[in-house]
Amino acid sequence: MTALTVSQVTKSFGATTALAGVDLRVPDGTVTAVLGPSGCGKTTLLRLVAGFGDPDGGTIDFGGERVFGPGRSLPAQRRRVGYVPQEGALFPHADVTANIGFGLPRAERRAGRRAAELLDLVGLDASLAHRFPHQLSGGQQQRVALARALAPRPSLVLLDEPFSSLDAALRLSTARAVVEALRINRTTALLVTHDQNEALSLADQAAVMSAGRIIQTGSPQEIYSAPGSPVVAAFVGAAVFVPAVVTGCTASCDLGELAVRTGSVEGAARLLVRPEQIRVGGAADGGGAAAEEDAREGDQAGVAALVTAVSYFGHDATVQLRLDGSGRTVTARVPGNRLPAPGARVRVAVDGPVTAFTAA
Amino acid sequence: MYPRPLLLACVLVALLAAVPLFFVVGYTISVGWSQAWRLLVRPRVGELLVNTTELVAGGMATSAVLGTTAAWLVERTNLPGRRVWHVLLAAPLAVPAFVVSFGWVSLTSAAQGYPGALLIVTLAYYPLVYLPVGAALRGLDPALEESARSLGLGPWRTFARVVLPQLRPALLGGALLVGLHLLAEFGALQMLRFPTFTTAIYDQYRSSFNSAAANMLAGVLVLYCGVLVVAELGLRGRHRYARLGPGSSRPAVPARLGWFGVPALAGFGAVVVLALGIPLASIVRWLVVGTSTAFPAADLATATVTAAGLGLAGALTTVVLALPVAWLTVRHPGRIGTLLERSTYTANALPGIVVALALVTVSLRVLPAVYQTTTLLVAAYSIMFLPRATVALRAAVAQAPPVFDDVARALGLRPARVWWRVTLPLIAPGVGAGAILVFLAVVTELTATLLLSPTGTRTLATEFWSNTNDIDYGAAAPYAGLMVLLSAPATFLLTRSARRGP
Repeated sequence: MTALTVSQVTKSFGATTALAGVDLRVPDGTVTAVLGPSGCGKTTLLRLVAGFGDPDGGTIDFGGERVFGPGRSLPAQRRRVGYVPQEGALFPHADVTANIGFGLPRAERRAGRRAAELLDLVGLDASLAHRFPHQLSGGQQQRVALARALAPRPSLVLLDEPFSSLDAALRLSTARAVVEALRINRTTALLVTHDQNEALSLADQAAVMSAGRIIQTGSPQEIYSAPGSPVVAAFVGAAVFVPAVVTGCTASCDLGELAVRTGSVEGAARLLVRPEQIRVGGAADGGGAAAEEDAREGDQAGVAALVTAVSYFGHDATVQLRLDGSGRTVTARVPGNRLPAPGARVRVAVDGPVTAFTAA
Repeated sequence: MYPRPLLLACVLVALLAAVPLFFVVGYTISVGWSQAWRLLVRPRVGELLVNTTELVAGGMATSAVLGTTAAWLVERTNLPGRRVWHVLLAAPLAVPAFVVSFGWVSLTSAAQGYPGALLIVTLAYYPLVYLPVGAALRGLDPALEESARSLGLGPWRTFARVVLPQLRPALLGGALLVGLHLLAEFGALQMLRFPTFTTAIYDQYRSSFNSAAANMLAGVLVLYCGVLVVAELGLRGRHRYARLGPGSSRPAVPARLGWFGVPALAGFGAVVVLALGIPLASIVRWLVVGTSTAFPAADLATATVTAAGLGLAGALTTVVLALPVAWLTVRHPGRIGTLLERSTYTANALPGIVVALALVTVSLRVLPAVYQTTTLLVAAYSIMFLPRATVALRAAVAQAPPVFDDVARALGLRPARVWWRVTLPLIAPGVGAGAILVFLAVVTELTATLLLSPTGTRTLATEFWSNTNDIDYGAAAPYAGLMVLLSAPATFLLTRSARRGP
């Protein structure tokens, strides 16, 4: 069952095209992240789904109900979606309980049971019930904003960059709590974000958006390890691109002979290698003689390279390498406890299959 | 892009606000060149021009120096009792200029003439510089000064090359306000027998009903105001004055005054005694003298009720007119919105006497039925105080950003319910503050009230005025006292908003 179907939705503001024909299906009970750089139209898409504006063309369906299409546009207040904007936007004149109960019928609001239930669901202490928004931390505000959106039991919740205003430490815990609450409730959610870590770690399905179009939809693993285009590849994570020639299941390039994913292009290609796929071996540290020996060994144990720079992050580090053969510079990600020193000579090999794109 | 009804409402408000300007321009054109020349090129006009210029230039300069010095001493030094001084230095704003004038004139006739006038208008209006400059100093990142010091500049050169340029918008803006108030000032100067354009217009209009000469002088006065506004815009320049970079600035380390603190404290004391002490002591003294013979409780009550009624009507009307303009500029920012908003600000530069003259003439020609009615008077108040209300309401509407509408609609509320449950509660405090500001301005308004109020209407300001004119200071004192008491809360509001910074 599909909770939300967006087909061929277009939208322009004056001469600027915000959405150039967007297609998106959000399966029931899942969290879908729309991932894209700022200005790609993702927030516009969210607002059109919520009913805060009308598309220029296309259709939007909630389950079996058409909410926008030719001759039909259901107003926002009758779409009954939950909406969590950036920074929460809690009503400053109402306390936590009143905020959560805002969209409930008066009788249920009076009873106050639902607000307590939702506070518990989003993992907040009941003692916060009568605080005002300015007395809450950023993370607490976001959780209350989600509770407010969930209170009227919507079938679909829309979240617009809900964690981007939080600082790094709070972001992760708040995001986890929010997604957990969504899953317990079996609520379908559409999350808009420009943060690839957020999209990959929280969502069941990710849709990568660029210049008003969705260019790939898939599970986070698919998007990351088998991106459909170099643009997607570069957007969802650090990427090393090397030119290569592909024959069958093997690509020949500066990094040696590498295995490529089945169904790749043939002939001249551009390979995507993720930095964590590049393994750095300490074999060449022995100096001149060892280096010569390594060079003779050739491709069996990777290619020889010089470490030009190391950036240390604690849990891991990135290493800049200059390949001996071609002089090409590539970046590898290595565990923080096995660091080569700048200037060291090393051997470089690649783990696992890589992705090949047609040469540009 | 713009909702039609809202745009229409704003255009109507802007047109109403522009009536005085249209009147002055239209009148000047209709009179013709030769007639205008004959009315304007006279020794009397030259004399008024000299007087007005002396007063405006002198008053702006002294207010700028006094206001800036006081602001720096309060905000940036270790002077004892700075919080108390802040309140005391802002307090003269609560005493209408004509009451300050009354305090001095009823004490000594030596206050009359240019030196007295300059002293009194400076005492009455320097807070208009003191408050914005103080707010700017508070918002100024001390890291700028510290950087200048580390680059080798001494304290004086740091002030001149780093602090003063940063204060320029606040200082110029404050000085412009002083200038415009001086051009519009009537009561205080009339009492001091110091004729300027405004008092001359009033005399012409009252004594001979010589509306041609009065209207022509009004044109010159408007031109004068325009020159000031344009000069301020030109001097302010196009620099950026905002803090760059994120984060909030640390509070500044106060400068140690040492022995300079003694003259500084003496100066503060003198300003407070001259600006507050003398007028208030005069009021109390005349209250004692006056009430020893008769206390006109009934008249006082009538005048208070009338003034409050006019204030209420003025406040409500002005707020209702300002709301669409504020809404348009905040919710639909763009050229048209800015243009419409700015056109309601013309009244800021138009003296009350011009607004009153314009409404007299226009109403007699177009709608004679409203001449000498409360409606016309309330319309004049609305035009004059629209800028105050718009500023307050703009801040109020900004308290209700559209994201709250979105959230409320997503939660299932119809637009009317959104307005009732979200927008109204959020904007109510700001709207209330705007209404109070207008109410208090109306209660102490003199010029337009004298010209436009229906026969027999007596307000606090007009009763005070007629008693002072009859040199019955004892009878005038209770009205003066009531006006000061009523103005105090508005002053508190103003200092509070200035404390939050510009």
